[in-house]
Amino acid sequence: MSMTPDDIDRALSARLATGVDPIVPGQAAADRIMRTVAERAAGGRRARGFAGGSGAGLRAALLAAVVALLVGGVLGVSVVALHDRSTGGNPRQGGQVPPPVATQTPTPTASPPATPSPAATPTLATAVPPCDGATLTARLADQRGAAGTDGADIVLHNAGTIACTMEGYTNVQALSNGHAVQLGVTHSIGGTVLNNNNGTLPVTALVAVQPGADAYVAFEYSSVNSGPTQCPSYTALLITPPQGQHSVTVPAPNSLILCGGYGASIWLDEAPVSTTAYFAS
Amino acid sequence: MWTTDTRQPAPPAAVPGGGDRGSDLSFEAELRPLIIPALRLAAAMRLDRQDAEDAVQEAALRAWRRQDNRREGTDLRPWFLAIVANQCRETRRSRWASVLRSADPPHPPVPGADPIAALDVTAALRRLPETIRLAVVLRYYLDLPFEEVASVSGCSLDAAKSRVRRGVQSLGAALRLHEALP
Repeated sequence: MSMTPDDIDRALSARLATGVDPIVPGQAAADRIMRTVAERAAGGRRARGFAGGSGAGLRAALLAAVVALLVGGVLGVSVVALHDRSTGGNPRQGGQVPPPVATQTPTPTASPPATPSPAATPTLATAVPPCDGATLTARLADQRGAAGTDGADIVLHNAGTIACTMEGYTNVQALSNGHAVQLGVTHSIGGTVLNNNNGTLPVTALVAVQPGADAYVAFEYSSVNSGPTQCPSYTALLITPPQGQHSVTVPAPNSLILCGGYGASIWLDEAPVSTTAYFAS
Repeated sequence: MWTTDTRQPAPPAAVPGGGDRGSDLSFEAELRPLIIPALRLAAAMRLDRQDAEDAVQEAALRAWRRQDNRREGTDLRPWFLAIVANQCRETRRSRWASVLRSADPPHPPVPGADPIAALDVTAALRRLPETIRLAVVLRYYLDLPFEEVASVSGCSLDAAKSRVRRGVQSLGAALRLHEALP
């Protein structure tokens, strides 16, 4: 039987997928990389424009740790390791505190190593499994808006039977006409609601969520159409926990209309997983 | 939308010392959907999951630092994938990194994957010269048009087609593609 070039092409594509797909890093790796880029970008901006900001961030982190530890037992949620992720630390380091960023450096320098450090001591991150979307339920809460920027908390409820952990930022997709669309989420100091224009990123912490307990992430976005085309509307968000493999659906009964801002096609800024709600009054 | 307030969000303030928040955020948004294709490219070039992630992370940071060098109107994908390809060439794992890797847990098996067939493919890829491997991977694994294969590879269109042709011949023989077809 004679074969066409198309047959050969198809066979080669299939064989390459067979051989390479198993070693392609997954979405969690992509999230880690984007987090590093976002943190580097934020760190570079802060180094240039907000000298001393990391000190303030560390103080805020320590205060948040004390508060969270005091109330965590009651809520069934605890902060175990706490560090400022804006310095570019790798999440696989499992709670190690990265060195402080040099605030006088005008531009980002060497990249952080992408390999884990040889820490031998088991941490909560290794002892307790990461939360996955399959064992979480999620809902929107505390919706609010101001000056064309809207925001809300997302309550992540551990519906499983064992505790699990989350650390860092979730991946965010949106559902449009039944199709999942990857959103270009930022983790920036530019969020007018989340970050209160104070030039500091929300603190990232390793959060353990007991069965039946809640953790929170929050996001804000532009709701003002500033371009020639209509802003897209979405019926739900799909949230994948930072170290999880599956997403959990967050229904948006009134639809989310996400618009651009700051030069992006859609601008949506996200805050990391936290023990407490961001927008609750 | 939960508000009827129609005022515009505040425009990004220029950051003293260079670089503005707006361009950074825009760049991040543009870069994000390219990370998975970049990881696929790096995995096929390095043939190691951890190497691939390292290479793409370094390439992403490099791209962010060099974003001002990108000519206006240039498509980000070939520009960024070219940086990834260069990074894959340059990545040389240190002895310390290899020690660390030996302590890593093994990767879980992929359900439904045929480990023997996968080994055949990675061995065949390993035998290809780097430029040929890059062209084949871009064309047949990332499904890019020849124009983009040429752009990422930094060669002419004719050279890209020639490299792909040579790669197909080599892989076709190594993997006995003719026999595999019905």
